[in-house]
This record gives sequence, structure tokens and C-alpha cells, in this order.
Amino acid sequence: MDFLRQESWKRGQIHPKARNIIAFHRSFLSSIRMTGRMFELGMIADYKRRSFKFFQDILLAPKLLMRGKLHFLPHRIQGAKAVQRIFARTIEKKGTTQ
Amino acid sequence: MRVAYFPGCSLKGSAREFDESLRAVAERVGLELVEIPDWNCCGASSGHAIDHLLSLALPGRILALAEKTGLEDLLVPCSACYNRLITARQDLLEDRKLKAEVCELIEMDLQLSVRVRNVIEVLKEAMESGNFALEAPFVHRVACYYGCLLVRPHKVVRFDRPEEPRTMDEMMHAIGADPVDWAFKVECCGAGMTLARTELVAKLCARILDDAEGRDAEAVITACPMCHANLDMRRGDIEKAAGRKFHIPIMYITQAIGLALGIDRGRLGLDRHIVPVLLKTIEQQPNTSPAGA
Repeated sequence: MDFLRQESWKRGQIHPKARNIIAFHRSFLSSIRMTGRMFELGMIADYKRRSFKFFQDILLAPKLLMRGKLHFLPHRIQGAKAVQRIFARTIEKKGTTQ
Repeated sequence: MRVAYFPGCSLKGSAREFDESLRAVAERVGLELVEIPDWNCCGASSGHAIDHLLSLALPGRILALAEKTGLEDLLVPCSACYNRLITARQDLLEDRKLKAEVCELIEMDLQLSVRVRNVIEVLKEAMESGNFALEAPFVHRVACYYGCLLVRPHKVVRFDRPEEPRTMDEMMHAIGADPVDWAFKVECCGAGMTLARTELVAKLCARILDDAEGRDAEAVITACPMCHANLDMRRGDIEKAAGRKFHIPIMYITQAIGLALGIDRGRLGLDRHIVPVLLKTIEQQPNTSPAGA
């Protein structure tokens, strides 16, 4: 199944109904690429921008913040550059990220 | 017992109570967690859907860092991270050329000497060998929910049975709980599709909660932060999809064990959940014998 997803991505042949799934993957990977770890709040904001779902979970977010489940700032690992080089030599080399 | 520890991104954020409760329980049962320095995200749930080499290199860097601790076992509590790390390790063990390629990508050597282990198997082992007391047996009827990533694919994870796993049920029984026999133990909750396919996740979760409540379970016990997030944080969407209310709380296995060990609910992060964890108080007989005995 992963092989088919990867081929679909590489060939740019994506079903219109999967548009938001692709938006999610892009936001997720973009977050890891920047700091080495996934920054949930940043990833969600980026996903909203890509999917235009600006009001999704708008009532849930304050509850999560109150419970200390979302951080306002990302954690950048010391090896962030090493992680960026991994991205540069894999998906970015193939020119499939946006 | 001393193990390398990879918490993963969720346990530092939306699933922080899993990390908090695991650390509290580990301390009590004599399990020392050595967090891998400078770990990165393993790429779950997106890396493997987009690029095969990326999906091996991100876990590869984690495995290489874990090897530097000199420890034999790597504890990975998040089921999605566990699945990615154990799968990547298996793929690299089977293909030398691929392993060399990944070593070049991560700029580190990789022996693949560290065993990737999930939270259930490590805790079970620690509890069997530890010397501690059950201060408040967890006398509750529970539905043990394994999800799909903890026990599958069986030929890779080689943990428990893929269709009818028992380990978590046995552990719950050992702390005084009554695990119910139910049909959704290993069904998928929708996992990482929670943002992109919320309606689908809500439908899948409604079926899981409906069966658990139908069997009179007082709580669903899980070991996966994504299953927890979908069943707990998505409760509003689930109720909308089902057209009815659900009251059953979702607890991490470490929280249930922590309560049985008499650990304060604040230390276990029980108040961080969206669905309040309010279990019926049952008259208990103090049990001071070691749980592992």
C-alpha cells in the first residue's frame, strides 16, 4: 500500500479526494524538516493554510492548550541540519516536495 | 532493568501524560529509562507514505543514536513510532545495500544491535522481576485496546497474537482489573488521518466505543497515543457521527498501572484528558504482596 502511495506522489497523480491527506503529509514533513521534530501547533497551522480548513478544531485547541498538551514554541534538535540533509538527499532530490 | 528510551514527538506534546505516567511507573518498578540524546522524529505517519528511503533514514538515525548508549533494548512507547522503528530495522537487516545507503544518509554507522521493544513487553518484564506493592488494586472492568500498529505485521513485530492479543489483558488482570472480551481489540481507529479525514476517524471510533460501552467496560485501556487522541480528543466528532453520547474514558496502560501502584493521579496526568477519568470507587482489600510474585 505504501508503494502505491509513494508512486502516486512521485507521479503527481493524486485523487482529488486525497487532497487533504497530501496537505497533511506536506505539513507534517515540513515540520520535521525545519527542526528535526514534529511541532504540533505549527503543523496544524500549516495544514489549515494548505487545506483551507481554517475553522476545524477551533473549539478543541483552547482545551488542549489549557491541559498543557500543545506547546507554543518548537524544539529544535542539535542535529536539525543533519535531518535537513536527509531530506535534501531523499524526497527533495527527487523534486517531489512542495 | 535499564533501557534506552525514545519517547517520540507525541509524548512531548499531545500525549505528554503517557510520558509522565510511564516515567512515574518506571521509577516505582525499578525500570531505568535512558532518553536518547538529540533524537529526531521517526517520520510516522507521513514518511512511509511518501518516500521509502526517507522512511528508513529517519528511524535509522534514531537507531544509530540508541546504539551509542551501549544498551541492548530500546523502549518505544508510541505504537506508530514502534512500528516504524521495528519495520525499518527489519528492512535494513535484510538488505545490506540499503543499510549502506541509509548509513551514508544519516552520516553514522549502524550495527542494528539494539532491540526495538514496545511498552507492554518492557513493563511486563519489569513488573515480573520488580519488587513493589499493589497499594490500590485497579478493580475495574476494562476493554484492552491494542489498535493495529502494536501487533501487526506479525512477521516483523513478533509480539503477541495479531488477531486476539492477550498480554495487556493479562497485565490488567494482574493489577486487579477485569478485562472484557470484546470485538474491537485490534481494529483501526483511523490513526494519523485525524486531521485530513476527521469524519472517517469519528465513524471508526464510534464503533469501537459502542462495543466497549456495550460490554459494560468502565474504561478503554490503550498503549497508543494516536488511538488515545482519536478516542479522547475527538469525542465531540465521534458523538456527532454516532448520534449519541459516550461516557467511557480512555486511559493509557501506564495510568491504570500507576493507580494500582498508588501513584498520585496528578503525576499520572489523568487530568489532562478531554473525557474525564471518573471511575466508580470500589471497596478494595489492601494487597501488599509483590505484583510480580
